[in-house]
Amino acid sequence: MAEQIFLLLLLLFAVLALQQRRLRVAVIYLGVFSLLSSIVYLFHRAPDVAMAEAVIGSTIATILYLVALRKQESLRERTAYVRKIREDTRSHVFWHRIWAALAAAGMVFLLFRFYPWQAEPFPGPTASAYFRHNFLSDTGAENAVTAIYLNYRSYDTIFETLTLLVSVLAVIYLSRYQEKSNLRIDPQPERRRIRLHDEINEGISDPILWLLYPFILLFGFYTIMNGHLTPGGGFQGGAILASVLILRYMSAPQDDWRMHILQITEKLMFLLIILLPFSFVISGWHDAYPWLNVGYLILLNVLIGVKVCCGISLIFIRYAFYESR
Amino acid sequence: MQWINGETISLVLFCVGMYGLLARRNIIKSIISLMILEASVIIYFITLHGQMDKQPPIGDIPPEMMVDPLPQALMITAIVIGISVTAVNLTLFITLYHRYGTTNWYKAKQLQRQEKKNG
Repeated sequence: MAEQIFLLLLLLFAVLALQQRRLRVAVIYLGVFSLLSSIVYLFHRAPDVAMAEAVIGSTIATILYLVALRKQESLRERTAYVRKIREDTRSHVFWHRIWAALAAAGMVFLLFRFYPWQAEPFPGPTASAYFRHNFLSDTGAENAVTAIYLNYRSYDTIFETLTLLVSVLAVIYLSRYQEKSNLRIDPQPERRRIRLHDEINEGISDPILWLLYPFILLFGFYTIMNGHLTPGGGFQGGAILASVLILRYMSAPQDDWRMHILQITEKLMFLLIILLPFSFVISGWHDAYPWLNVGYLILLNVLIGVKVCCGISLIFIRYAFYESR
Repeated sequence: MQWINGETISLVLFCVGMYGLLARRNIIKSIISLMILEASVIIYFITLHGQMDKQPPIGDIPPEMMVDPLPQALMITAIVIGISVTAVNLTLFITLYHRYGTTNWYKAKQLQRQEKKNG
């Protein structure tokens, strides 16, 4: 009953986020949507996924959207783009909306009509049945999800960290638009200087944050190190640590050398993340030395946590604080 | 009310995300609908067999009482990939705004056609 209420609220907030004209409100609705989906995961007994969604999907994604909106507004205040299209585009989109609504309704109908509602579970032995029976004796982890993504399916983890690295590179590369910019940015924007760090510096005061940093850091490291015993792990703890760096950079923007250190750390961590599962799990040594299992789990969780922290904070720093390079 | 469970709602959410992608003029709305699409897939996999009487896959509990841990491990990965895709999308949006000065798909397309015509 409660789960059904949350699912319906989920649908409501998704539709509201798309209908809303004011973009900031739409982004907040999206954040609430992520939070509600995190609660739905809790109902379905998935605490790891709920933590990941709450920290990464609900918090960091909302921050990224709000920073994007602020950047766009500050650009709009400061520039004089000459060729504007003055016409109203509502007529363009009217027939698109009719077709899109028909397509979406048709898709809903087809999905519900041809979905195998009465499918039975697969009768033979499955991988998840093997995992459920043997994860404690094989890997030494009490958290089955950690055992899967660190030991049984460590290929997925390697490629996922590679994807994060590639997205950092993409954000850095795609934010070089000085030579292609068509906006004539005022060289002396005297009238209303809205720069990102000026506005933020007025709002956030330092002493309160200095009180908070140790607790958030402690919580982040606890989540990383205890990922094999309780819900948590490298990804969730890494995102918590990244939120500390994001707060730090929003209250006091630093110079380039921090970003350089983060880049080097991230690439080094990625190299170690490739080497460690290959040398321990995939090569078969974990059968020869089973007492190293727990140490391997903790070490790999720490590496993943540091890498995810570096990756997310690099994305935020590069994206929020560099107008053009 | 039996049919309001995670699978059906995630199917409807997927179609809501598709509608948003096809029918909205604003670029930020398109990026929001991509995130709704990704969230619907994750909700589908987590709520697949609807076993809410079993226990989370942590600790020394008998395997018959444990929820399937395999989709959960894969969906954690999917969430992190979703946010990296969102970050790249928003960077592309800022670049597009620098290029065309508008957040409307149709106006940006017309400007692009004009630029191509003017050479």
